[in-house]
Amino acid sequence: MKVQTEQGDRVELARQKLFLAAHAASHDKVYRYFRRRTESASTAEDLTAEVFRIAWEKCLQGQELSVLMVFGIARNVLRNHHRATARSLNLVQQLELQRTQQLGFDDGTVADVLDRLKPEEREVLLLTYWDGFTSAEISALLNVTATAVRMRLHRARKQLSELLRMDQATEDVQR
Amino acid sequence: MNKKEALTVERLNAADPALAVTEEELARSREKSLTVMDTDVNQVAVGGSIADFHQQPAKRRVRLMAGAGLVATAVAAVVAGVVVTSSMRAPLAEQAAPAATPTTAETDSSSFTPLPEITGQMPTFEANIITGGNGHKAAVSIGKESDFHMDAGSMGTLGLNAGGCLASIAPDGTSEGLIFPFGTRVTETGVVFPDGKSLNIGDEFAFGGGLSPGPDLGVCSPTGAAFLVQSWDPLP
Repeated sequence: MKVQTEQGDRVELARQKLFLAAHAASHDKVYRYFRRRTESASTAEDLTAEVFRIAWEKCLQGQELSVLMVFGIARNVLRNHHRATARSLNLVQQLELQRTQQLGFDDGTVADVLDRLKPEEREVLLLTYWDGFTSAEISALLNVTATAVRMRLHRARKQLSELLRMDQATEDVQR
Repeated sequence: MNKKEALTVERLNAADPALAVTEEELARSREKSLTVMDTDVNQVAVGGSIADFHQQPAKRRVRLMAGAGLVATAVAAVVAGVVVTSSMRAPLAEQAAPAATPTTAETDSSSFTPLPEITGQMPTFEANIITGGNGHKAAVSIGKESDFHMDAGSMGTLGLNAGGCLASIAPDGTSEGLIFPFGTRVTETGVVFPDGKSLNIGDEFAFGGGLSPGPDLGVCSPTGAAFLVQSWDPLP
């Protein structure tokens, strides 16, 4: 029976190593993914911990882990978070929240313009330029063809460019 | 991607909220997200106490107790005169052998195999200019498909540039050079790719691949740069 115990320990050790490898490869990207899409650092921290709790469960069930699989979990966790937030906050609070969200070194124009893009095109755009995924990875993540990803990216980039130009022109006229 | 779009992308990147993420934030989150390994999530149950999670997992205790029970049974069997030791020792020893000599990697849980490096043959941007029966030219890669697939996209309409070479033609009449994949043929109406798919002059396309660093493709790329086509799925 000692043999069986040692074999069990070896399996457990292998799972731990698998989980640690997936964690090392994806943690920072997952945290930044949430930081870009949620209201605060503490929320991003909580959601990241939730992602790796689920990943650990899957690991214990013997499932293989990869960066893309972890991001698949992250997308679902974010979706659930948005649903929960929508339920708990009223509209006024949500608007206030949107106003207080700070974007990198932008005055808020880019955030406003991003909101006006189609959700599926915005997602591809942000996964590409903010999260650094390739078309092939996004294709696997969203379960669409790589050509569709490229099309969405092309349209989103073009649309963003036009909207930013229009915003700039409006500001110039107002001055 | 034209210059305006490139500037837009620069602006988008500058607006990335994650630029404000600090190393302290990451370290805190790493630590928090690893605490899950200290608990046996399979044991989590409504009404359970937190203290239980930090004790030795129940499964292991059960295994140890079961092992002790079996050992006691075996000893009792020997005492009773049942001669089974000769038939049990060998397989037990065989099974125990690998466990007795674990590898260094297995014993050190803090070190794990690093992710594999990206290897493979990089694409070549060198191309030959081939001419079809109708005089249309096309730059075709001289190398077979490389292992490394680039991820840029090129959308446009297939047409002929001023030099009579098949290229991507923009609505304003400007052209961008294309390097077609190895094995592409020039036909009367356009090109046929190595897999038999065809693209005719006037057809729109969305190619995957990457921009070359600027080989001299003569009439096929008067501006210097050209797009190496690596995937040519039909438009959705």
